[in-house]
Amino acid sequence: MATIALVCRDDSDRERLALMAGESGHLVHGAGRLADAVELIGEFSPRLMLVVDAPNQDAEVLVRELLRVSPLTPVVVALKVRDASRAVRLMRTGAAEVVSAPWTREALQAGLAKAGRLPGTVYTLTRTPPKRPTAAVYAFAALAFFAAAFGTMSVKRHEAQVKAEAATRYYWDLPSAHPASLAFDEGRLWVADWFTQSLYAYDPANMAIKRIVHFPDQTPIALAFGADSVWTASAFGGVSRRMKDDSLTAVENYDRAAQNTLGIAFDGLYLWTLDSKEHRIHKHLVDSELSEIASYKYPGVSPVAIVYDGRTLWSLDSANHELVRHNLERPDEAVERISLPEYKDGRHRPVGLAWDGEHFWTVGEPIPKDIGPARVYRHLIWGLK
Amino acid sequence: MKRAAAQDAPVALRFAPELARADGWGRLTELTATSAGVSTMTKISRREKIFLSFELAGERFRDLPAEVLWVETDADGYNAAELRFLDQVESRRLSTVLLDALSR
Repeated sequence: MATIALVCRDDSDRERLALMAGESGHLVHGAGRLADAVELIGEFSPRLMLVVDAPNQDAEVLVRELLRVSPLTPVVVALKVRDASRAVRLMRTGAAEVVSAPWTREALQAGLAKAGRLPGTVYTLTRTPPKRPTAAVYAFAALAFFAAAFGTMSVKRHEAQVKAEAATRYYWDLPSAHPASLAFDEGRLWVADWFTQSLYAYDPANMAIKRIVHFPDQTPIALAFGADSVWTASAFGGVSRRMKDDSLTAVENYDRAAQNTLGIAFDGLYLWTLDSKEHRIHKHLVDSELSEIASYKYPGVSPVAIVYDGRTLWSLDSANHELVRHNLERPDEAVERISLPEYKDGRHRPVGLAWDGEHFWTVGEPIPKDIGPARVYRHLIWGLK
Repeated sequence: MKRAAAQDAPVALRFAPELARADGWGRLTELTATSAGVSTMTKISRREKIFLSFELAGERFRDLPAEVLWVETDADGYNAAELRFLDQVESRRLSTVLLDALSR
């Protein structure tokens, strides 16, 4: 049973609310004015405060003043006239709950219960020291020690099994759900988001967003970094070469080059693009036309991303959930295939691939789309040659 | 990336005019660019279309159309529901504001 301070100017309303709150099991102390309510707070230390919003009593003022006097005591407002926008304004002022007119015992009981249960910061003067462990705890600890000792062999066997798998998983959920591409540059993990038409630079240590670059006139779906330039492909076709300035200004637009591009990689000399329609890898010379000088059939099912690791090309096959290592001289030849078991649960579809010098990173869009966040994985691949 | 505010943000609920239902209100228990979790005394049912209005980081979002995916009643008699936003343009704006707020 909680003690409630009820502030209401009208005697009949105060009596009615006191009766309803009393029937719900609360002990109610009534006051007609703010000054009387402040005295009640000092005398009874109520668990909750209930105020009435009426033409002759502005609950917004009451809520503000009562919270100033007793900041940790929730204030519930009972409206005399149902008004949703007024209710929202009162909640923004600090009301824990707002109960609508006409007042019923059930609605009032629910509102008071919810306000009394709302989570908030826990304030305390001193930290409670932990209880001393009992004999039962010591006995349990000894049992656990022996169990751990005998379990070491099985744990080691399990570790060996884990190491034999394709990769060890680390992952983070992103604030958006529409990734298109992934790239790594100068210690930052970049994600292209087709929905917001922006690139996001994350700190790979904690996935904090460090930078956002928005393209109002383009939808970036592929991204690659060179030593002094950035390459992007647009959803509507075409590739752009950009400066590494604050807004990644485009210095060259190749509108007719590399149509249907889902992935881009730059090896320092040639630009490589993934054709999602023809399922081919194209090799381009970085001239005025971004001329295609060679084209190779993709040795997989569904290529979605490509990256250069300093020695050769790797691609991401979203249908087979695997990384494919290519022969740089003949990219239609797969030298190695590495399974990505992270995507086996079918919750995400891999769409982007990056290499940071030590690890592969992938990003997956949620399945079904728009339900849940995108997820970034950092893969530790055993035995990577 | 997920962060929690000190208090659940208030949200106004409006229904289609032809239903002649009074507006309601509640609190946002969760907010993403494409969905929202709501706790409210207002009676709502699955697949119902509701218009949400709320404020985030100084930006106002007015009458965002949303569909109720599921709803259940908690111990206090409140309805806890998950809604999916139907307006892609406003979802995009919300996404931008969310990212800005989360990155601060």
